Amino acid sequence: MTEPILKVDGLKKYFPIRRGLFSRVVGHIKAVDQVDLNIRESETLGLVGESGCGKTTIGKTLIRLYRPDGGRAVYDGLDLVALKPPEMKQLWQRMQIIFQDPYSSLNPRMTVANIVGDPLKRFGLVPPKQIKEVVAEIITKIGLDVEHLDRYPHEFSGGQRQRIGIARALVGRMLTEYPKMIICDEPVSALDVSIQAQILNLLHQLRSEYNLTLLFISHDLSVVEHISDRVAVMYLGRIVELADRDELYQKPLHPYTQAFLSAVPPPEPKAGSWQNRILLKGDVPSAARPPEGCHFRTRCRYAIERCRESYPELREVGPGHQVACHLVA
Amino acid sequence: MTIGSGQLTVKDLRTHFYTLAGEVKAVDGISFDLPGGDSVGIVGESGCGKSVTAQSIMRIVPHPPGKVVSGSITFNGTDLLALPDGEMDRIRGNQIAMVYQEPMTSLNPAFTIGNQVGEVFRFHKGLSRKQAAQRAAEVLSQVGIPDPHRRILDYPHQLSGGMRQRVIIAMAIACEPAILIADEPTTAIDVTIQAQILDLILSLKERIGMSLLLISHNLGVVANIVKNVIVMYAGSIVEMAGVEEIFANPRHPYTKGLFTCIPRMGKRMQTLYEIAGTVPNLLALPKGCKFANRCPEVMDICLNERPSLYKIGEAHYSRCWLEKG
Amino acid sequence: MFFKRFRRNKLAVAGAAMLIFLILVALSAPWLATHSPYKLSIKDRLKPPSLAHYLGTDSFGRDLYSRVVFGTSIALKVGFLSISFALATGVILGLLAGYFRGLVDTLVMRVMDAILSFPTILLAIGIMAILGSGFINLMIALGLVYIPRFARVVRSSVLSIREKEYVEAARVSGCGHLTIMFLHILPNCWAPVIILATISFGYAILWEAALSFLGLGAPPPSPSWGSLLAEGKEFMSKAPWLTYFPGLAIAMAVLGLNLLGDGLRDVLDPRLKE
Repeated sequence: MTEPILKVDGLKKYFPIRRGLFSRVVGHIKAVDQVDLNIRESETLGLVGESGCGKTTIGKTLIRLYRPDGGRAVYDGLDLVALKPPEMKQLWQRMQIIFQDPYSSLNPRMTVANIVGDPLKRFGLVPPKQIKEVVAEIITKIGLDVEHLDRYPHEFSGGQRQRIGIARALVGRMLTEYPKMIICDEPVSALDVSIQAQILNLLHQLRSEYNLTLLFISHDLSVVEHISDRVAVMYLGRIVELADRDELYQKPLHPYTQAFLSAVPPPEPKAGSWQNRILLKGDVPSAARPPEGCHFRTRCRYAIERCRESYPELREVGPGHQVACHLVA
Repeated sequence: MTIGSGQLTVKDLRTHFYTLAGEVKAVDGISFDLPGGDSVGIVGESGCGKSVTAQSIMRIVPHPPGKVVSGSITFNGTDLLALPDGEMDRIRGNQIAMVYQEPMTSLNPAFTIGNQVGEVFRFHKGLSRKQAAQRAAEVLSQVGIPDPHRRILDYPHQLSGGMRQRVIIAMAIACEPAILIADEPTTAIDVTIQAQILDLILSLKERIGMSLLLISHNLGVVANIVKNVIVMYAGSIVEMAGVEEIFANPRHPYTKGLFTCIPRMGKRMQTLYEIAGTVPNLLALPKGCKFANRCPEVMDICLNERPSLYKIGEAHYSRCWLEKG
Repeated sequence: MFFKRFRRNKLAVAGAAMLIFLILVALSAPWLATHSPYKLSIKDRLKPPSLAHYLGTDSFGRDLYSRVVFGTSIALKVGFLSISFALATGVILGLLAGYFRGLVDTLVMRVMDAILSFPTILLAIGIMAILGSGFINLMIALGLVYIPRFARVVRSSVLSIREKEYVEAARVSGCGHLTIMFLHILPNCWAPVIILATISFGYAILWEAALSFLGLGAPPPSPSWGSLLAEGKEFMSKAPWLTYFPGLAIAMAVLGLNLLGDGLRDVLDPRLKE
């Protein structure tokens, strides 16, 4: 097994909470709180969790849209945490991102050709005259036509816009071997079910063709199961369980993962069985003041005294299976 | 409160929107029955007309540009569309109540929870402020909000999404309505909270004896909550049946496509089934069947004539030429 | 789509028509005027409107109609130039403040607040007291006074646009800060700026009239509408036409621009939401 293409250690991202006339900092939202993970080349790691767990923040922090507050992250030899502004272009040539909202991820005043060609222009990958040619190539690859190039985003449906976003992320591959890794930030969450299928199939096809590494962020457990090789579950800024896909879905060990999986209504009437699911009580605690010790203990049916005293570290309990729970590890 | 009295019959409802770009037939002639005490789920993707159906029943379709063009909506024998505004106001929120998708925007940020929930009592039951506040606290505890006497002094922004949705539900069930319409009640909420909210809706339904009209694009939610399912596409009903029947035996090509294209936990597939093409433009609907351009089983007649709803089994209907002999 | 909407909006069309009318008058002044606006004719002084002098004559016998016609181009020039100056400067300041936030934002906006806290007329007079009178200085003064309004409007648009995913996408495509500000954010801010510019144009004409009335505009015999009002003031009882017609011209111009601005707001507003 070769070195992972992305290695993250203790990554932190805190957002200050400001109050008062002079915007004094009174506390922090610990959106990402000591996250460790590795991704191997051409692997798809699914990152799943509910709102506020920090999954989107991790994605945006890794790609340096946010500045990390601590920890280490190395991608393809680049130290992501120590990166200085002039070096960011290097990162962005090698790693790209697909955004969640097809209605706000494309500049309404730019044509499709300009939107998709922008990275080529900014990274100087090709002389300006040839940009349109390259853009035409990728546009047809993702399922649109050359005649769409001169149109504006509002003339397209949600699914088509998301394809344009994918084209923008991958355009560099028409000329070089980069980007190798794509962060997919909830790429199908805002789409209708039948369009989700189209986009997921497109991603699958492109992933095989270009041997892409994906960090697939989503709150939808079925979608994550479908597309991932390994899955990490997040809760309040930390990873609580990490395992190979099949292992996680068949043998979830962390109480949150178990509750989360059982809460998804199966798309078939199953008289009674869904009614017996684990019902989590209460709401997600505030990310500004997470519970002491294990963050999940306030809603956990198995919580014991030890859960309040200390935070359970992520420990390996089986081959490739890590859990952060006192009762399991 | 008589159990089973929330009976709703919709007959040939048509709601159109008159826009600068043309006439949009958002609801294009639908008919269905919601028997008292039962539950019906309307399933479909965006633009199929399911929300506009709910708005038409409640008579809250924004009137320019929308208008209920024809049809009847009979509630316990009374045609709602023929009622004068004042009488409809007395029914809305009282006998027929609605829960919306966005708990963020359904509550007025400028007023306390107690004020907003209490308003339902002040308007429909004529209670005084004090009495209404008391009843508000009671109904908040019925929806599972802890410490309701303190909560009524809170403002919406102080509550989480799940809590806000419970408040909306509280406002809806405050007058023990005969019918509850839930329009995507859990779409904007996390899955673990969604489970709590759905449970709450079901237990309230039991207790009060309401009929439930649930609208959702989420098949899982519909499959596990309602007794009967209606599938809508581009403003029309394409299939309806009991929930077990429709999931075991979907007949309309769109329904089959819809049920097959979602990734299912535990079932591995390399690629998902795709429904080819896109939804037709509601401004320029095709001559024949609205699904013809995407249908894997399309025939000549489908392109030229629109099929009616054919009965294919006990309470199972499908709008498809394939069913006609 | 925009023009379709625009045509349907009666306010916008009426306002646009008035503006176009004024522009045409200004452009064709030499041909529309019946006399030279400066030609004195003492024997004809203070004559009421007649066929020879459509709007009458002033105390020096100059034809009022011709003076008003030539005054149109002064009004439009002053309004346009001063607001253009305010727009260009205000937009840049608003962009910088909204995009960079922090210290830049605080400094810029506090200065803007300070300017806004002065009553317009006092501020304008104050600036002109320092710069001296004359049209150029008047345009600078009015421009300075209007800068904060543009800065504020742009800043608030920038604050919401900078959070959009397409701005993040631009960043990750390698766009530098300046590129993002001017190529990605600015083109999406235009609607409120245009509306503000149109309405401010009307007000600028009004302020020019006020300042010229107070004697701070270009010296006589300049036929700016404000100066005409000032000259006519002494003869209100004897020759009221000397104040009516310039006043009417000012009112028409301001009304037209306000209608256009309101109409544009209606036309552009629903799209402002996106």
